Amino acid sequence: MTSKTVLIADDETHILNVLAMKLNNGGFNVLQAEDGAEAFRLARSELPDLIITDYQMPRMSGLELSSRLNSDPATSAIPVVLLTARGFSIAETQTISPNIRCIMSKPFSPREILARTQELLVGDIESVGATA
Amino acid sequence: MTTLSDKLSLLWPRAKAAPTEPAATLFSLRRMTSLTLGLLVVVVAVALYGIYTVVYSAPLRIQYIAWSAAGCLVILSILMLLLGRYMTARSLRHVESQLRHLARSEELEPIHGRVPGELQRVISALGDYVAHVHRKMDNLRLQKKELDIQMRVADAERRHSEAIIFSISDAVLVADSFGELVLANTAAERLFSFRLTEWRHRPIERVLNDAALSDLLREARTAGGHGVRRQVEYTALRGGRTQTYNITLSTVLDSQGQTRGVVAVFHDITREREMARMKTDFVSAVSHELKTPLSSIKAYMEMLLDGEAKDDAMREDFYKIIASETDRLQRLITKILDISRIEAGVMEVRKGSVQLNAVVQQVHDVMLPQATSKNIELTCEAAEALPTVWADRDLVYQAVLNVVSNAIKYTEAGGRVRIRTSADLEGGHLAVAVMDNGMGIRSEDLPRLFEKFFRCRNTEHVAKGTGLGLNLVKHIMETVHHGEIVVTSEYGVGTTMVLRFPLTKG
Repeated sequence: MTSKTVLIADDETHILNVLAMKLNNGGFNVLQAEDGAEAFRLARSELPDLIITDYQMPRMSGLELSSRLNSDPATSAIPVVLLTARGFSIAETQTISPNIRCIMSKPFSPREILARTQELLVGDIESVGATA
Repeated sequence: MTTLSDKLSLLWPRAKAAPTEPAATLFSLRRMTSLTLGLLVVVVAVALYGIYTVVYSAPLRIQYIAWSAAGCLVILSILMLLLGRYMTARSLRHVESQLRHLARSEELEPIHGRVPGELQRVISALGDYVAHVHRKMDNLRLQKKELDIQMRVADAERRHSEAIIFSISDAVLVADSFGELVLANTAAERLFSFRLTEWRHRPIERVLNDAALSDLLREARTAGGHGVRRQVEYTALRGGRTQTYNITLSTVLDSQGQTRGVVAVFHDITREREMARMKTDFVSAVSHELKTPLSSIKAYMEMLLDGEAKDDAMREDFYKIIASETDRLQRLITKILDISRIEAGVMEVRKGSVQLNAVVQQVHDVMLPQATSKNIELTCEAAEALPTVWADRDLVYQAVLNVVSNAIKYTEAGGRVRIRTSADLEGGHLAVAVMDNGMGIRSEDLPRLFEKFFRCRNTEHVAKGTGLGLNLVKHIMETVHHGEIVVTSEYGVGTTMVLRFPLTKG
């Protein structure tokens, strides 16, 4: 149904695996990165259609990754979904770069992540049953 | 020297005019005496004229007798007059000396004296008057005594209140209605760097030397009957540090509701703020750490429920992940609780004689499979005849296990981890040293190594960790065992961690 590519970045292997499996089963191509720096490198080389990234990662945080992608014209159009396990809203403490379309808190539902991905990439509103 | 009239004027306003009254009476007495004298002279003259007319024609002998009798009569009259005058003068002198005595004496006594009938009335009136003054004085003396007692009580209360103000750790400043400093305790002197003895009754603005603070005090002082008490938060840079105070401003009102002054109490809440911030950071970090394994558990559970696992093998993988992440969550919670218990001083510590060699050997045996699977050589060198230490065996085991586990985690395959026990009897301690030739710790990370949730930037991607292990080890060593943990590390070369246990029982 689609061959869109999603890059997922998280330092937790289990999270990476489960997201990759859910998105693969949902018909997306998936790229994986275990830290922010690797995600940035992959994003620039592979130009994915969507990036789902954890907030707190080694080497480069999800916010820093988003901001750096936003400042590069080649990657600024890629929408970013930010996952966070922090106890407070990021919006209260940090400035958010405009490419971040959605912030979802951990623990998350893979079902919701897939729905949000579909909403952002396919525009399949009917399959969306989730909110941030 | 106070005169009687002065005394009386002090006691009783009417008394000022009083001394003139007896004087007037004495004056009228003298007039009466002079009148009597004049009358006597006239009587004597008439009598002499009568005798002259009667005896003029009488024989010479009768005339002599008559003139002699007349002369005797004159002399007798003069003597009687002189005697009367003498007695009056003596009584007056007596009364005068008593009055002079009264003027000098502290006590008021009734006036006595044997005086002629007319004077007796004056003396009696004077006596009544003195008795009246006496009563007045007694009353006033009582009132004075009461006032003295009240004054002493008030003075004691004032000293008591001042002692309370001086003993409290919060800075207290008191200004009067003119904005002048009336009282300041030691904490206030320290806070605003001044001496009360030098600055009392000087404008408080000059003591504070802070426009915002002066405005606050002026506002409170001029607020009148409104806002008798209010709290303001105030932040200032003192001694190079930002201090936050909670200032309680109270307007002091008199019985008519007029402002008599203002009291400012400065409570330093800097530490409370810092504690609150640290608590929020800790809760935030804990919640982050707890949510991470919980995320995996929730995600894999949902995958199983949604039938995303293709076969039994995959389902089993999911179950194992859920189980391991649940264990991770449990370990995390245990560590957090242990740290909290040690920090709060409610950790149940069971100390006894512990043989460190045995603990180290146990850790070695437990960690050996993990080391072997990672191709790391794990050795244990136990010192001979090592004395025992007074410690909680389980906590010591946990501390050594944590350090050895870290050494294995952050040492690459082919590396070596050595555990060695030693005794420094002169230094009064036993030591467990864990040495590795792993990746080492950057010097900038060393000062923060024992902070809760701190993870070295170069190692956090190498192995999983909560950032709580070393904090717990530090607590076990320092808080529970009064020992220490010493770290030496060279980045890229290796790390040595030494746990030192004091030999003294405690």
